[in-house]
Amino acid sequence: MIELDEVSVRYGSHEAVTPTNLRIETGEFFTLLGPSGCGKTTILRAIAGFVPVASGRITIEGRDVTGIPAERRGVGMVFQNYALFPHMTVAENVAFGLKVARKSGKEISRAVDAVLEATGIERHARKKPAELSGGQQQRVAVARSLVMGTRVLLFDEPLSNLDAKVREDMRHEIKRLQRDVGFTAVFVTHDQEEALSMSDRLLVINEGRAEQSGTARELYQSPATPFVCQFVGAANEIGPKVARALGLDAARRHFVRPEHVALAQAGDPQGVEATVADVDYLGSMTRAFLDVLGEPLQCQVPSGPSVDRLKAGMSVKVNLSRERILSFDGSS
Amino acid sequence: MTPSGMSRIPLVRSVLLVVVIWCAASFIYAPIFSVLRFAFAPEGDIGLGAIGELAGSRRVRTAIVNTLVVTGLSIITVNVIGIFQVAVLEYLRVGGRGFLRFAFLTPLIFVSVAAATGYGFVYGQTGALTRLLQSVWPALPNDWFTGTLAVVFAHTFLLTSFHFLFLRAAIRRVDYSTVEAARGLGASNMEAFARVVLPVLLPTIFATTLLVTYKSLGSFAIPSVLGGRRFDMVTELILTLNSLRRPDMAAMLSIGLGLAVILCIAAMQYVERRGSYVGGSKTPVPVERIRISSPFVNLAVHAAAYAIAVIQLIPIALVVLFSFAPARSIATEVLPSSFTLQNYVTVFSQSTAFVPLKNSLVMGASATMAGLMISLFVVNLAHRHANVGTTSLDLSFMAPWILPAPFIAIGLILTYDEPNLLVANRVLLGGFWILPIGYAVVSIPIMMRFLRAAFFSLDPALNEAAQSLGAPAFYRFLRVTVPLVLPVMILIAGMTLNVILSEYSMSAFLFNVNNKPLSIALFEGARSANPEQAAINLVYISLIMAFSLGIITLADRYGLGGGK
Amino acid sequence: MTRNHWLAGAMTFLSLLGTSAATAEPLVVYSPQGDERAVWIAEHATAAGHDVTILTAGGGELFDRILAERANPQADVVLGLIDAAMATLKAEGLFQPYVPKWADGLPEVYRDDADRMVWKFWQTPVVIAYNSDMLAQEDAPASWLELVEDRHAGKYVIGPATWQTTKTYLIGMLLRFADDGGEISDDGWDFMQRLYDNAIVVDSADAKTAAFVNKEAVIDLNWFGGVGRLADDVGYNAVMVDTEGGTPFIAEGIAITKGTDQLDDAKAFVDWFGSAEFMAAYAARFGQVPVHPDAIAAAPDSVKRNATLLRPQPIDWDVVAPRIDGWIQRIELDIK
Repeated sequence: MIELDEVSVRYGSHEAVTPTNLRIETGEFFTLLGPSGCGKTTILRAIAGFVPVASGRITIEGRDVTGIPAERRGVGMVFQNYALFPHMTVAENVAFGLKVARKSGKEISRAVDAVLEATGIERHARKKPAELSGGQQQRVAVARSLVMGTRVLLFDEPLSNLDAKVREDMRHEIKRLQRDVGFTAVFVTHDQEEALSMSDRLLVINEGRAEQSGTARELYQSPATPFVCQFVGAANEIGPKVARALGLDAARRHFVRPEHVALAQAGDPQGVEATVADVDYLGSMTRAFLDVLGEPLQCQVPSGPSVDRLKAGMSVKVNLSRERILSFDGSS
Repeated sequence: MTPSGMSRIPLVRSVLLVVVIWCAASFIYAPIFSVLRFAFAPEGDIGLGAIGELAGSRRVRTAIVNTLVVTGLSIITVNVIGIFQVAVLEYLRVGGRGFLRFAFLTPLIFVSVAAATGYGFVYGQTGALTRLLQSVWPALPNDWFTGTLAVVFAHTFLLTSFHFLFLRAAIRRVDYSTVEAARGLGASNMEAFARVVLPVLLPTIFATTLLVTYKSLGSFAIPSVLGGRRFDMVTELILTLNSLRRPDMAAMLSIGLGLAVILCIAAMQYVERRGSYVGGSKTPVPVERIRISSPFVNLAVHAAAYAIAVIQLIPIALVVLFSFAPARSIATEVLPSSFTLQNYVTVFSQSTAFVPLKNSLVMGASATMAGLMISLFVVNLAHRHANVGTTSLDLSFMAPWILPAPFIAIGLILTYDEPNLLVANRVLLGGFWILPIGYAVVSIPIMMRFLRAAFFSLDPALNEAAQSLGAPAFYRFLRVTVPLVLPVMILIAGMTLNVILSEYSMSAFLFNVNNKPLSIALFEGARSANPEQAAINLVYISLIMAFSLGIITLADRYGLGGGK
Repeated sequence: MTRNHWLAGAMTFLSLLGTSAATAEPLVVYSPQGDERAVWIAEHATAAGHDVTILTAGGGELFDRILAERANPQADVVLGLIDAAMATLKAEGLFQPYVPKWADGLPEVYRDDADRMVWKFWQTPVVIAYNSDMLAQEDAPASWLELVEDRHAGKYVIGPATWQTTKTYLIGMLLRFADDGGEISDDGWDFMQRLYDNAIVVDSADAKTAAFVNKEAVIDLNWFGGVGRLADDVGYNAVMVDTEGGTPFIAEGIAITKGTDQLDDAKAFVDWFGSAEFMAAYAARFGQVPVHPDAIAAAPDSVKRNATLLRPQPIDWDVVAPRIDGWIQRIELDIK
């Protein structure tokens, strides 16, 4: 279990992370999600020990590690570019930590062989990192930490350097490893799809502040703040004219997800008048950009014969059901 | 290094820090202070008497004029040749590119006093080329190759190295799609070059021009060897004033030279900063060399390119050939008729011939070692803990970069010609170590530039990865940082040693009988009428060139040929 | 590289800095004698039981070195610098008093009774000689002042003004234009300018030799012993001119450096070197004229003849010495 108790981080006078509380269960796959520069990597680096905390306490498995240097925290880290030592072979990279710990040669080679096999890179043991594909490099990076018997692995946007296809594979790969080995994974990403698909729980961070934590479903269905609402999944902010037309409380902010915007034909008695400004055909889905009372609204509907007829300039009717509308206090 | 790593080895580090600060104080600040003191207050009272005396000397005035004239002419000729060479190698389709490339890179291996004596050997009074020219044109005097002509000629073909290094790199960064776009809009090849390529290259051309200016202003070995009677440049006059025991005038003149050089460097930095936005695209299409359509122009370009190549190669070829020739064929034959290894045997077996080589190797190696240690320490410190203290230490060791070698040399002489408390009340002048100290002082800025680049290109995540795997600071430095910068360090060491082997400016001021270096032996040998001495010189030059070629090939392989 | 290696390296560097290059086992003698003579002297010194290293360089260069090394003297004995140079070094306090055994009988002008430091052992004229294979006697200059004539243009060589020999003949010529107070008239400086304009000017011995090898130069301005040496090296016959107005003479001295760590060896060497026996042997070998009457008596007849061959130009070195630097500077910076 990793616990952050009122942890804050400062760079000079800039508070990069405001006091944050966080609890990550043992064996959990936990993701820190947020836009770039929001402080998610800073939190990760604070857990790893690369960034000193300005206040608060970090405990890992009950041990207070706040003042302990990185090399003695027993936390593994997988870097964005993997940070494999370019002058060492795969096997040497993996053996690095064991050598630091002054394990015997026999012990080292046994442990290295085992972890290389578990991660499926035993064939590449003698190669230098530069000879490996991105996916293989990532396995080495994970293996390098796992071999140490590390129970906590931190991932700093490790997939961002990969092609879309490999990326997908690697997501499953990391999940599989995490399940099989049973380590606690703390994963940093700005990619919400990645975060939603991989995590047991997530924390959404914005401008150094923890916005909301919970499972993917909780975050999507019941966002606690307008930011979470917009950042996790897509959301339209409903403009003042439409809000008035719908009779919504003008003092609050209202959002609706594109897939919850229902379209009807122009003659339909229900709904608000709208004009189609543009149409994006996405295969199974079609996205329409609408102009409602002079305010933009996106809508996403499954493709089909009636949807295929949508064209720019067409008049349609829009229906927004009240229970799909997410409302927040104006101040939040 | 993390704060925790710092606290564990404070003692070693503090001791090193003290040593490094002492080095900066003794060998950089004290000499600079001495120069200023002697220039402006030789007798303790502040005054500008030295300026008046300098201005009153005909020879000083002539030297300043010569220096300016040579520099002005060199800027033009070096640019013409240099830009043409780069165009031939990178923009035009010219046959035999490999050969031309080798010929055009020779200014990198044929430098300083070695090149000057080489030119003297070929074009001088009894030189093979002089004899060849006289056979065609008997009226040519023996000493035709002197003065402004000789110095500018030598500059023209020896100072193109900056074009070879930087302008070629710049033209490779030009996005060829912009040339194609220009041609698609109706521009001819030449118009495209003039309107699209050249503007992108201009900042680089300006920067290389300033480097040429900087080199030419401080030119020393070339005018000393080739200038001949009544032709001095400023650096030579500084040496003369020093030997006349007028440190005040020598110091003042070196300050003048220093100001000119600083001005040059300031201009260069300004251009570098301004030029940086002319970046080209992120994924540039490499420049495709164009075929010259006019057969007449094509022929002319080929002829000019090969003529330049021949001019650059002939001195080198003759030096190497004659180094394998019996001494008696020197100055009597245009091409040697027989070959022998005797000259090489002489250099390595006769102590008088070997001593300068040994001296230069010993001094070069110790200066390189000490310089590297200081650079590594300072760069590492400044890299890990950027603060006012480390930055000023870093800048202190960079200072000699903007000061011409004679300035520092005069400073060292004036500081250490009597017992000085900084060095335990010893006198360094006249001893062996003053010259390697001078070498180290002028080498450190370049070492630091390379090392800093190496440190900044190191992925900080590697260090953190090692840290998260449990490695303490020192282990990380040893097993991760050092192996990664080691190739750079070895290369820097090689390049520094290479420079020192033919270093003339510092050497001419600080050498003495205890440490006469190769460059001085070369210089003295160049004046000799004794063919044995000339033969030994040729062996020295050939060895220096072989060493340089090795280092440059290595540097090229590691992509460090940039020199900057 | 480990931190410890760093430290070790830095310490080594420091300790090397502190090491003086002269841990002088053998006696170090600074002398402007050319290679062959130095080797000959060293051989005979060794044979006589003196362990010496003779370091040779141009007289001017040695003079500068000795001054530069004043606080860290490398030489134990200075041998062969001329009157003015030895006087200056003595005035700078760089010598150690010692009266050699051979001081007895030395003519007063060659003694140093006031300070007991510098003792002259031989004298030499600085002469005009010419290559008689190339130049007829009537075409050779008959006096120093004739050198500026057009017919001698480009036929004589002036070496660096820092050389003792060069300095001596330049001073000799300038002194002909001096007033009673020792000031040189404008005519003197004009003459000096024409002298340089008319000459081949070189900055090394090798370059001077080269000028004679190339047969450009046929008139040699040289010290007495140097004339024959150059003629032998290049291969021509040299004839000396007994010039109108006289020939400047210089005497060379020997002194022990102050602060030598081998005082006894140095004294023994000085005693041996100036002895009539060695002086005579040297005279026999190189034709040098000693100043000690005993040595002249023991020298070959040719040397005895040379002792009176040329008319000396009277020069009062006491008056000249303090002015030399200024004159040389003017020559170097305005005339050369």
